[in-house]
Amino acid sequence: MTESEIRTLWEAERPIYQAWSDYVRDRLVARLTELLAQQEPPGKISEFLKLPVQPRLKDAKSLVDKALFRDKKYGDPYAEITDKAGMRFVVLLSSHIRLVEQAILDDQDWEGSKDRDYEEERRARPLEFSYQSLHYVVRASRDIRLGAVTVLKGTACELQIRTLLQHAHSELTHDTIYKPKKAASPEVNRAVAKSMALIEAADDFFELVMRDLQSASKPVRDAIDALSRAYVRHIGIRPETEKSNVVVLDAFAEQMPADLTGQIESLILSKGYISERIRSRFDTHHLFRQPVILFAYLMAVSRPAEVKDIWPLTTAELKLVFLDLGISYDNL
Amino acid sequence: MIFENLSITRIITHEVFERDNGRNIVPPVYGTSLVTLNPTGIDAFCCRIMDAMGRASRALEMAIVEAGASSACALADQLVDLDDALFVSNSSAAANKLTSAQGRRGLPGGILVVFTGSAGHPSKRIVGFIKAETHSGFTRQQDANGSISLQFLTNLLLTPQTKLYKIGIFVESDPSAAELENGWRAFIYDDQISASNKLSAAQYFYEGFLGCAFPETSARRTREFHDYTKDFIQGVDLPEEQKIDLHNALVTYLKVDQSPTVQTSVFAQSYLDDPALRDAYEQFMAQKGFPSTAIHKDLSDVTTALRYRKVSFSDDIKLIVPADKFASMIRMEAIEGEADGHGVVPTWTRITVKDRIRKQE
Repeated sequence: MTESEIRTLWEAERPIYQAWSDYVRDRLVARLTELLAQQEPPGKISEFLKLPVQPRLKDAKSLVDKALFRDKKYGDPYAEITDKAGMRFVVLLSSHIRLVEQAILDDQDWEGSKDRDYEEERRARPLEFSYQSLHYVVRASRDIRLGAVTVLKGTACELQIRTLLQHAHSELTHDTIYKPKKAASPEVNRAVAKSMALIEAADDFFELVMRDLQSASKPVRDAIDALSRAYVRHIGIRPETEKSNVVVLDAFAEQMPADLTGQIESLILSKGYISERIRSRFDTHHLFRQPVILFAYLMAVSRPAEVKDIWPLTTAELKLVFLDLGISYDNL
Repeated sequence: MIFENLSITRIITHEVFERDNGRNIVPPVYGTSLVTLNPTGIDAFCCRIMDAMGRASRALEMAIVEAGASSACALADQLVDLDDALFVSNSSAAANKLTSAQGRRGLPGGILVVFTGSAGHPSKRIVGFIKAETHSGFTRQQDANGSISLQFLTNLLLTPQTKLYKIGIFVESDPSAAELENGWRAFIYDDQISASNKLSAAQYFYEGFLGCAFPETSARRTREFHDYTKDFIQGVDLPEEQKIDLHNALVTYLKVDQSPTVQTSVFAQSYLDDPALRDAYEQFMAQKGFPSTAIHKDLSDVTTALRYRKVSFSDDIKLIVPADKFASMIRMEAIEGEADGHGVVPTWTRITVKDRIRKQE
């Protein structure tokens, strides 16, 4: 192919690749949102993706450059260059990378093939610390009509999946060290390898920390779940789940009853007016929109002095709980 | 918790005045329409009532002794059924009654708040009377140019300062009772009832105005308070030294403290440091059926029990000390005894009496 043939073809097909890569991005984000919701604890896509996913198309100049002038020995350079369209997923942990991979493999609209897997590379070259990233190329598994364009079966899009740390490393090094044929100085290469080794170790620690944090916060999360379910059941409105829930339950970790759900049930059974009171303050009082308000009532009934002593939030709304229960807050 | 689930349906205010220099009545000024408060105002109003009447407050349950046609209880019984217009007009009788009850000079005027509503679960109808003295204070004011200054207010009432109001609430307990005094219960909060040596100053409100008296059960209740509290201290999981202090505290609270009332929450507040222990004590007392309200202190049934403190050991060994001397004269410590043949170290007690031996038998 000549340079002008490549340019003409690419100008004609750009809208198709644009539509295709937007489509891939939207489906992956949607699938990831589902997968995250099923996790324990459920995750949010906005927190999961550390950078916005932005499909990018190669510009004609660099396509020509890659196809014809870099001595890459392509048979059909236009077809064989798979990163004409691509996007990058940047996440926090290496375990998150595998979740993105799962989303890629789940989709029937394309066939995903792994181009590069840093874990396999690690196993293959255990003594080397170099560029790490997971690369997939997805190709449309059938002709897909997207608005005004048709994406033909086999149309490719490249996906790179990395952790934040891998991304930082790659930003520093990728274009400067790996692309030129002429090697960087041994000192620079050594420094780059050292930082990748550090990044890999840090990633292991991040995973460890995340696991420990999640198992430490499990009782509180379970309690919030139980309280939220009870809230929906008795108040009939979906509660908010702001941070104050965690703050309160953390403060009362020692007082947490084993049978929380049962105790809330018998509280509402014996004092039905509590549901009414919560409903009536839902619109005007923040704390009454949180499931932990049920816990506040439960504790205040049996151990008011402790609640007053331990309560970690402002007291104005707690006083209303005491008021409803007929307890003189100031005299405790 | 008698006043849980409190809700207020109607409020009206009248103003009553101090007698003039010749001890003549100055006629009240009557309110002519219901007071309307926004939800925040209602919550604040309920908070004032709860501070005074709720669990752990200093309110007392009183006996209704006056239930004739012109009594406060009869008025409550009447007001609770009236429509708004009649409630407004008939509630003025309360202002008249309070005015005439304030027979002494020097009893300040104030705002009489009359309200109806419900409390409890299942809810019972209530009628309440608050005498609120006005006081002064400041409010923050922002000028047109944005600077902040203070404005002096002279007619503040029902601020969190509970010394400045008295409340009586009648709670309907049995609408079908033949006698009014059996159909209603009366609760009173008056700072002067629980404060030392001011009981006579409170009499015009609870007796003259509301027709109530201290219940005849006071002596029995005081006895129960003593016995149950003693049981609690004996059963609680604390080192013996601390229990000695608590037993001493019980004696002090009943005999030395000049307050004319006893109450679990007050004892807990004064002598139990740990909030968890306070809660445990109050739950213990509640399970025994002891009221959370204040009780008029009547020591006639506990005098003997309070005379001596007794500490018992095995083999019929007893230490008997006049209760009021225990804290000052006796020191008791748990010490490690001599190990037995198996190496087990028993706990012994070292008793120090701050005196020489006066007599032996």
